[in-house]
Amino acid sequence: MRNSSCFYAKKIFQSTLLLALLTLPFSLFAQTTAQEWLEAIDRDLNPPQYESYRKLINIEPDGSKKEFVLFTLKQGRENVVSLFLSPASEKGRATLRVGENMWLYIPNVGRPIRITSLQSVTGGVFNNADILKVDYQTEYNAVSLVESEQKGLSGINLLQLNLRAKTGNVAYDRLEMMIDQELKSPRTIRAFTSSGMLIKTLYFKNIKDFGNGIKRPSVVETDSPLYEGYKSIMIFAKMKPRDLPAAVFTTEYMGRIETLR
Amino acid sequence: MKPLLAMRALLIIFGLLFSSLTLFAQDDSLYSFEVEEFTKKTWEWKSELTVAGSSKTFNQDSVLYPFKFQQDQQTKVQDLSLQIPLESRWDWEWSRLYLVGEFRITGSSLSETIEQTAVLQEAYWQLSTLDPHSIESGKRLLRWGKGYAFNPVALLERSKDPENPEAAREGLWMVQGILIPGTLSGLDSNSLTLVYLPVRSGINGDYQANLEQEDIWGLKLSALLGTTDFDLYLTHWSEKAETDWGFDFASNLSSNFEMHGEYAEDTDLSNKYTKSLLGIRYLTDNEITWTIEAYHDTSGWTKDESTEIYKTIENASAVAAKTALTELQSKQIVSQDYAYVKASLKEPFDWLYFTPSLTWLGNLADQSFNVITQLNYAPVTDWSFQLSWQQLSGDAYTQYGENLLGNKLELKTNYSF
Repeated sequence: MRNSSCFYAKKIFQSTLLLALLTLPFSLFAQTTAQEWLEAIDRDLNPPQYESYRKLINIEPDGSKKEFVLFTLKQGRENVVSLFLSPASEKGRATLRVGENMWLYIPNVGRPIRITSLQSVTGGVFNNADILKVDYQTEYNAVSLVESEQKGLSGINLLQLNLRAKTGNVAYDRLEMMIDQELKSPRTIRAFTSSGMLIKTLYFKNIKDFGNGIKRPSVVETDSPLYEGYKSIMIFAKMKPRDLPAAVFTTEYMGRIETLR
Repeated sequence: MKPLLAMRALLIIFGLLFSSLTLFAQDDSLYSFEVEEFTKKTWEWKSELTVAGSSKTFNQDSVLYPFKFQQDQQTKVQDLSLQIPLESRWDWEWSRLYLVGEFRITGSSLSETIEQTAVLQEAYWQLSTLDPHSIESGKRLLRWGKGYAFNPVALLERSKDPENPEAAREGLWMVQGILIPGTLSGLDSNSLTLVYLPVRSGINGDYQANLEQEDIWGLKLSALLGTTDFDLYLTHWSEKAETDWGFDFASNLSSNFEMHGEYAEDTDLSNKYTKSLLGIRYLTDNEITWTIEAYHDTSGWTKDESTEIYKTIENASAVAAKTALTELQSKQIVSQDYAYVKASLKEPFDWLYFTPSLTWLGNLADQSFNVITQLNYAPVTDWSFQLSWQQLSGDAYTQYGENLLGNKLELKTNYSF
């Protein structure tokens, strides 16, 4: 009997310890402030170093579509490079972003050309800043955090995280991010100009476990009051960690990105 | 005209191919994404099929016109062309081979024959075990500089045509080493390129026709400092004992404003020329992209010098006129000052994938100009259509006023695969 009590006490202690160890990472990363939520969202959406494949679909009001497939590499908070794999007319094009700098490499032109964040290499509603997305905290300061009356899928109220651009070079002056507290993921992001005009809304859907601790929405949709009836969709696949030298994220290397697939 | 008839038949077949592909296009499931088909293969290639038909009107007032049409007076010409460029890459574990070429067939109402040309633009081998650094050997087009229409720092390449800056050009045989150290203190990223370009009778002989033997060395240093790209260029010609140099920069001043510039000092036959460029690219709120460049080149003629050349061609003796004509045709740039302005409007009236543009290329010295209006439409994946109208204007004895071409209407259809 005494042995049995001892056995159960030991089991309870082990279970408690295991539970404490399992919940320790969550308590360490428990978000209370706007800045902490911003960092948590970046961790969720943009693992520090990864490769992924993306499909971009532009849908017109009449339902016709145009699709692009990109291979993307990201390093740190502000280095991203994407290579167009399809359609054939775009194949071999590459776009590079290092912080506020963006370049487009076209095989026929053969050298990188500086592009701006408000242009779009694919047309449609996504602009270059959306396609070459760096961490939100690289471009934005967390301003405030309020509990919204809107409810998420789990029935818990969404949080509204308000962000403001750090510099005038950022594509959108202000972001309004609605966060699902349970999923620790944005549900929508609304982008505004400095005058308060809504430019576009991004919808985050289909949370997927990509493995290696990467779990994030696999579909991002966007629409804009400036492009009535048009919609653009970004689908993520095969996202996995990949360590690369900094030299890969240079203009000199852009013509060779295709060799890294 | 039999050649033209054959080319027109080809154009009709091309049109039927487009309509059949459009009619039978499948609507796949919206979120389906088969990634496996995009994994890297040892051999990859891409190509295009371009069919272009054009109608050109000659400038009969041009001083060059009597030289072109001594017997048979012609006012118009219709051309049809089929162009197939091919880019190919073999990627083994330790090295890569790149081939870029173009095959072209052209038929013209001026002649009974169909002209066929095949050009190998680039063909080089790359040692990939040193990645991200590399050593390349073969035919390569360097494409130095930041400018769109003009590149003063393009010291080791065939010159670009500002009327068609994106036209394919042929490379030069060379050995190139590229070192990318990545980040160094004070610089966000940087690289160093060393080029060796030999000139012999069988190698790069057409690039420097006046030289029998030369060894040209080139150095390029690139750096990113904050939001500005900097490049420094140095070339040394061993036999001529001449050294040229230049630099360029490009920077994004805001989310819709880019600025770039180039400067080079180029020595030719002991004459030192300076070439400079300043340009901007600006995206307005209503989606118009403005590309504006100003170019100055002291190797060009002054207005008085170019006027004299045109007057000599018109009025001097046959020998003197021929000499002046050869001098004009061999001149890489006619005048010293040019401006390039291009306005491109993205999808006006919500017409997706339709981009009209207007380009003005002006010779600032003689006030003559060349205007190109283009309507680009890419309604279906991998298909594009381009209608363009080019008009050259200027007074007598000016560059575009004396150009043999008066205007040109062209329709081009392109299919990528």
